[in-house]
Amino acid sequence: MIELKQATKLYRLSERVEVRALDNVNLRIEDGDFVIILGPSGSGKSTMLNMLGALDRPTSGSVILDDVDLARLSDNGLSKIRRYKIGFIFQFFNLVTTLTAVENVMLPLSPVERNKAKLQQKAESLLTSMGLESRMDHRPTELSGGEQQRVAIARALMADPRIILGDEPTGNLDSKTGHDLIRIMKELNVEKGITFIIVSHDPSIASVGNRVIQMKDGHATEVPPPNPTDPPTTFASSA
Amino acid sequence: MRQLIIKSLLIRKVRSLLTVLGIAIGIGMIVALVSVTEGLNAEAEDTFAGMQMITVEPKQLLRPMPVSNVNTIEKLPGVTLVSPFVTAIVGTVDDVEVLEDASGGLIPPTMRGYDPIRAKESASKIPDSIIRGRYLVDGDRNSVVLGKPIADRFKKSYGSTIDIDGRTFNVVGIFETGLIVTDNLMIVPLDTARDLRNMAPDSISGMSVVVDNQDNITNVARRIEQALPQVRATTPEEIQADFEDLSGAITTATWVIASVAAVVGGIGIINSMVMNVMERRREIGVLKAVGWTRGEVLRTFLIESTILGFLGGLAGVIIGVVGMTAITTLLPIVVAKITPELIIEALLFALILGAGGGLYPAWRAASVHPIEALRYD
Repeated sequence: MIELKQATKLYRLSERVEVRALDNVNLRIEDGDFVIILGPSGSGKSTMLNMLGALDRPTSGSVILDDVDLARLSDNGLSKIRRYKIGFIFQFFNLVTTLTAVENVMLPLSPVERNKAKLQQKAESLLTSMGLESRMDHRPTELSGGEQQRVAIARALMADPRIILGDEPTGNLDSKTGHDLIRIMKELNVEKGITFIIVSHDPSIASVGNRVIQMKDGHATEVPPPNPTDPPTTFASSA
Repeated sequence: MRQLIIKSLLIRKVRSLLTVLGIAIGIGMIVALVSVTEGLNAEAEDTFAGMQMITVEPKQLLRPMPVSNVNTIEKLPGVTLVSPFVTAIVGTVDDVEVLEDASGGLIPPTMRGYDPIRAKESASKIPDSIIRGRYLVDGDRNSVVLGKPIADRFKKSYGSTIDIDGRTFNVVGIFETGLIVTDNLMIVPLDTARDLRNMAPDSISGMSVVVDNQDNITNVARRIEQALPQVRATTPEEIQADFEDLSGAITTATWVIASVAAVVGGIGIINSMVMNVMERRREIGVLKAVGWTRGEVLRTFLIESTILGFLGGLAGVIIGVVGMTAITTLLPIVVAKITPELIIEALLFALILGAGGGLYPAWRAASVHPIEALRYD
């Protein structure tokens, strides 16, 4: 369970101009939720994702993950949360271009895991589960966008986190590849109970989630998920 | 972590190589310069080890002293032999100005006049280091015994004649002690040297004094100075101590000069690593986002710069050793002594440069904020 309590984030642009990117947001996300955060750019959805992902601290309020207030943790404390409890998927994949797929997947734990063979084994089995068994030693530049994003999902799964955050994870993919990716995430959500929190400005994704949060001007409003009348994927009804 | 470091270095091959080269030149200079200084020191130590006698010279340099001093010192307790000598700076050899001759070595040849009998009994190494011909004998007049470097330089061998300051000598012997100072001597009979320098028949330049017991050498030296207040009696230890002060200063200066070159290489590391961090800002943002701590990022970049420093050190040591070996082979007059300590010190220095040069860039890398680094593509 992760929860925002009266979370506010101010950005000071100059002496007099302040932007309230997040305004007194209360949001409780339960284990196993598949949450879609919708909203136009500048509505505060990325800021909220940064709070939930332990990348940033709120100006006021708290972020509670497993009874710990992330707002009170040190930089190293936040790093640990990101390493062990949260996985990230980005719009631009953000793989390290000099490393192979399997090395990218090992990245979150490579500074701390002494047993490199075990680490590699795990990374390989994750890539295999993503259908990338023949792409292990390929560099990101040798992979298609969809393949890169699947490597990124494998990397997000490396430390067995309970929560995976996606910042427009399908934003840079064609619609078919994007839907394939959403299906993978949905399967992980259903089969392993991993909580997904996905930021998107594409309303067609909303039907995948069991919850939809609409962001506007720093305020978060929960809206009912749309009926899958025109389902982009066949599994939306199983959510 | 290891993969990330290795690949970063390999991807930026040209930059890594140039950075390594910058360090290598500095470290190579350290190895070359310090090895020459240490070579000279070792040479000097051998020389001192070969000297077991007191050198008596006038306090006013180059001023002759009366030969009667020999008798005064011979009577002092502890003295077994006094060997007077006359020293003359050589002006011309075969009508060529010695000091203006471009083929000359580091040490100008010096003429020494010895009493053949007394010198032979003294602890001087020369009589025992004849490689061709013989040492001086009683009754020699225009005979000279040449050190091998001098014989080679002026193309003389046993049986040749050599013209020194307008006087013709027969080369009766060649010697080689292996000590460059000693081997640059031309040994002639005492009277002949006196003639050449136009010195009065009852005067000498100085004396070598052999003592009965080496442990007593300092006491004997003090006794000589008490008996003859106008002379300075120097023991090998004293010369060595003076020399060590001087050579210590030279070694320090050498290190300082060469270190400047190496530090410039270190600045190259800072430069290259800062560029590296700026280019990899996004990658660092990713590492931070997936849970790397400040310390882990810092360590990665520090290791990378330390590897650059170490590779530079290794290349520098190789350049220095190969270079000095080549130089000493081609120019035997140059002595170089490359000790394991020197190699270890040079490598350590390179490591410190690498780690030190990486501190600021690594700190910058560790301070990258993941959100800002990932915001723009």
